[in-house]
Amino acid sequence: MKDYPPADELLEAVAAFLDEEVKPLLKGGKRFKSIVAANACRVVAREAAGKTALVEEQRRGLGELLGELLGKDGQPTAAVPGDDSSADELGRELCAAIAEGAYDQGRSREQLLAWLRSDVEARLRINDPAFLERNERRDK
Amino acid sequence: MERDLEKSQAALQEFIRRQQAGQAAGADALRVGELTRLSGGASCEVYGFDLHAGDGTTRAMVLRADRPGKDFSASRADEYAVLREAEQAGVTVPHAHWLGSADDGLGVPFMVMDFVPGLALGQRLLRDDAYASTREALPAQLAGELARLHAAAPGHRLPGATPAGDDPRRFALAAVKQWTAAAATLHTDYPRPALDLAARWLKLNAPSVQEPVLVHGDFRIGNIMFDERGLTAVLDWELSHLGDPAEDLGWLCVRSWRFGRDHPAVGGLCTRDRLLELYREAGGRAVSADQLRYWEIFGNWKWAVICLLQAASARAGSRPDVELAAIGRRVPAVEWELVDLLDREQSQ
Repeated sequence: MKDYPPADELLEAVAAFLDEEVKPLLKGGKRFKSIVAANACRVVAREAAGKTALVEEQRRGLGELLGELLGKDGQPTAAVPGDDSSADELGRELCAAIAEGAYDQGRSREQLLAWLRSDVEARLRINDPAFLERNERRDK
Repeated sequence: MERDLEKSQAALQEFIRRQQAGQAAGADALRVGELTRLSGGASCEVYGFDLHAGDGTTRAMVLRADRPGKDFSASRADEYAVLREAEQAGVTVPHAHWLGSADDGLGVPFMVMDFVPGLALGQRLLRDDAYASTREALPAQLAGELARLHAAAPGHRLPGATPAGDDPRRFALAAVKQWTAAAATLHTDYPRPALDLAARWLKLNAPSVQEPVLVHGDFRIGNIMFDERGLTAVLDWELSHLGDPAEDLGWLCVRSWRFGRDHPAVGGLCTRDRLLELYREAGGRAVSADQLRYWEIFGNWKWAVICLLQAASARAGSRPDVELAAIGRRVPAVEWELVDLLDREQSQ
């Protein structure tokens, strides 16, 4: 059970207050700061709405990626999909494998880059959707 | 903490009088006008003021003072030494007059230099019609400034440790190591596989440097002063060091310095190939497209680390700062660019 209104609606109201009522009163550095603050509210609002799905997708994708990684004996070396590690734990496991050279070349590197691209795009939808829009325009 | 501007003004006047005593007649009559805050980065505060001489003349000056508790940039003394060195090499810089220590009245190290008219705002440069001629002139001017800087015979005093040994890759490896160490101070609660992959690639692909040069270390749109005609000064020398000349060229290509004008690659102003051509024409060394790409990848990675350090520093003050904290959320865009650049590397 949650309380009403949800975090994203409450934060959007704060952002609108900063934009429409605070910003016009300010000049220079403080005015810029009010724009940054309103933007930060919108980032957190999108995060509040999308965080659960993001982390679940990270857990699934990381499990799959690490599960594909084969050791010298040809056996999977790491987590397999369905285990109960958190996304952060799997992320740290991935970082350790990168540092050991498991993703230096070949198919594993391609798979890693493809996963990183989809994950960073999911995080950009929260943090900087305008960046993704610019990329789309650039690719056209 | 907010600086007491009136106290600082009086202390600065005392300091300049001491510096001028015995050198200029009427040093006792020198007056420092009101300090006006011009800008402030994560590591320093910048104020403008008028220096009124005893003979009635007035000169516009700039005070650059450390922020208490700054960490990853060079000391103000190193920046001062490098600035003098760059001026001698013919680089367009404001003349640095005096260097002050923490004991000289302001409580932090600082330096005083000439005020240079112009703007340093990347957004204005890239979007405002008033700067169309500036945008035309800048590529050749930027290449020329770097060629002159890199031709400087580095003097006896250079910031930071020069990497020891005779491995020709040691300058790139030392740069990667330095920023890996900086990144290691960050929260491990936030794994960043894209940044770790970049660090690994940079370590494995470090290029050789036969002749290291004095590198600016933060040469980019945003640190260049300009007016309606072109470049008026190269600013912010606090990250300069001995290294690969291609490091400055690659940093100039980092996407964040295009301020949303994503094409062409060099600050939204010219292509990478054109930059290398202009640099060569201005007397710079031959730099290959591979070398340039290495340092562009390095630059994006280093920028991501700097953003995270700045975000972490948001909590250092008496109250958390939203502007610094929000910088952390710019990192995903830099990660995207890194993944894209690394992906292109693989397909070669």
